[in-house]
Amino acid sequence: MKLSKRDIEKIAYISRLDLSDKEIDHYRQWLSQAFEYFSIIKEVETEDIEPMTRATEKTNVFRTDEQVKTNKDIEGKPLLNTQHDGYFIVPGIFEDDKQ
Amino acid sequence: MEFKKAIGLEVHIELSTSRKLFCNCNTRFGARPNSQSCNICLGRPGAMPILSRKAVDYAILAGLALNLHISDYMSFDRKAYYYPDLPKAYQITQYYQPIGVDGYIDIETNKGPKRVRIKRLHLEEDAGKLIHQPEKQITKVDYNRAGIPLIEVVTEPDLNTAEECQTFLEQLRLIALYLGISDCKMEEGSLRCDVNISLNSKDSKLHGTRVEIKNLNSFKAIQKAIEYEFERQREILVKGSTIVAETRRWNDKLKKTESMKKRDRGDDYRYMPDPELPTIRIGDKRIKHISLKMPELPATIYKRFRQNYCLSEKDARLLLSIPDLARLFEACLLEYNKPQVLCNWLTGDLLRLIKESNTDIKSIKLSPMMIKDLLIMIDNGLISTTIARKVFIDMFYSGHKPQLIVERKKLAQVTDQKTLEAVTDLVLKQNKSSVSDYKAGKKKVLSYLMGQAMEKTEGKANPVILKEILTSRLDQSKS
Repeated sequence: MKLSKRDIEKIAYISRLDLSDKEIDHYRQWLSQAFEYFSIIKEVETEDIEPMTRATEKTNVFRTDEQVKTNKDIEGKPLLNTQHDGYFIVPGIFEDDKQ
Repeated sequence: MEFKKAIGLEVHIELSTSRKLFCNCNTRFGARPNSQSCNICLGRPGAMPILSRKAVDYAILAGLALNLHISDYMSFDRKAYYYPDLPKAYQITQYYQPIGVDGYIDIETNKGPKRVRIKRLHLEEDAGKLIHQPEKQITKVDYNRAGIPLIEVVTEPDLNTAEECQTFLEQLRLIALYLGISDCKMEEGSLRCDVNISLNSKDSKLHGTRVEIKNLNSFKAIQKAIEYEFERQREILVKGSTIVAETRRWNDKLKKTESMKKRDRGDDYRYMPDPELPTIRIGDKRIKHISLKMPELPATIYKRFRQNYCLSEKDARLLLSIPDLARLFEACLLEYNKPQVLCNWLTGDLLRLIKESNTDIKSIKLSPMMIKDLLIMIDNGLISTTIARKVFIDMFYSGHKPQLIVERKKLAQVTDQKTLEAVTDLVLKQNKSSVSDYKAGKKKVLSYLMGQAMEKTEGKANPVILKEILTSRLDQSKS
């Protein structure tokens, strides 16, 4: 499968990558090669085989609705910025530029 | 050209489990930012989500109440969505194998009963909360809400007016309340709704395009947004232009919808099965076990309130709006079989006291027995309704039996002829001008004189006897 320049641009866009024309060309060849490999896998007859989506065949793994240990020492704590009353801070995003 | 609206709703209801959907974090509303978050709901690498059984049971219970076909095989999928409120950059939801499909709710409209079909119901995790601060060029993120279980109920576009949407939502809200699976507080975001609306010409020749509206936080906003969107789309269609398929958001300040994202390339959420979450197989036994917990649903209770107890639509709805109130009402009815009288006391005096004292019905000190005792005292003429109101307040706060309060405070009605005659004579003596007014034909002064006599007995005089004495005295002096 040969990927087009537009395919690479789109992948770069959704990955938030700013690629030069040279890079686009590089990834186009490189990714196309990777996709070639899938075309080999595709030759396998899978007509009557259910797709496998999980590594485990376990079903019905549940937790109960009660606390096991206290949340006193949240492991996320070092990340919290106390200057912002416990909020995480990200660069400003405002509804206007929400894609 | 005349147009008809076709409206479908996507309703998110936060489930009131005490822990999150995939981790043991608390779900309490209003906690310190990020104090209820952990490696799992913060999406740290290597964290393993484990599903809450209670959330699944709640979702299945909701599915049964909405007449859905419950799937015997369920699974979870990842919905890719890159935004800071979603720490994993994907949301765990059910895309391929939801809890259930093809259900319905019957609602009452002004054109009679209507069946609103429900396409699907699935379980998913909530996102975090963003607080934008443009002046500082930052956005604050609180992940306390991230990972709280939600059910999403998706209807077919069977609704045609804003009123129908409101009726549907109220019904759905009541069902969730009676099932006890959510507190459904719109103001705290535990019930949220997106609206899909398109217009079709009444002769069915012209079909519009589906537009989604988000950010609707109240019944009022939903109604306003539908009205606004109807006009906006109508104008475009009348001009002969086409409507853009897009998501718009309701701006409550400007009272209009604004474009948020165009859907021209189609939603691309890149759904994929979540490999970390094992699938669920729900056997008939389990479904049967869950359905045993099914309480009586509000539609059935409403019918009984109207037909058996002859309550007005307004009274029945008011009682029904708070499940504990409706339960208390029926518990009282077992003791005291006058529905309207009970309803008046519960929806009037009791609700006012609940509001004043900022408590809820579960924690009040009144028992159905005490309420019955009070009402029987009125029926037997032992106390007047006015006094009963005071006793009721006392009962509400002290938890004492009405008999005790009446006895201690000496509130029993004065029915003794001689005492009341003496009071009447005193009042007539002190209000000579009113007496002459009465003689001159001003019958209105009678109520003034009644009031004076009532005041002298601290409101305890039996009004019927008092009035008799008063009029007979006045008429005697007249002749």
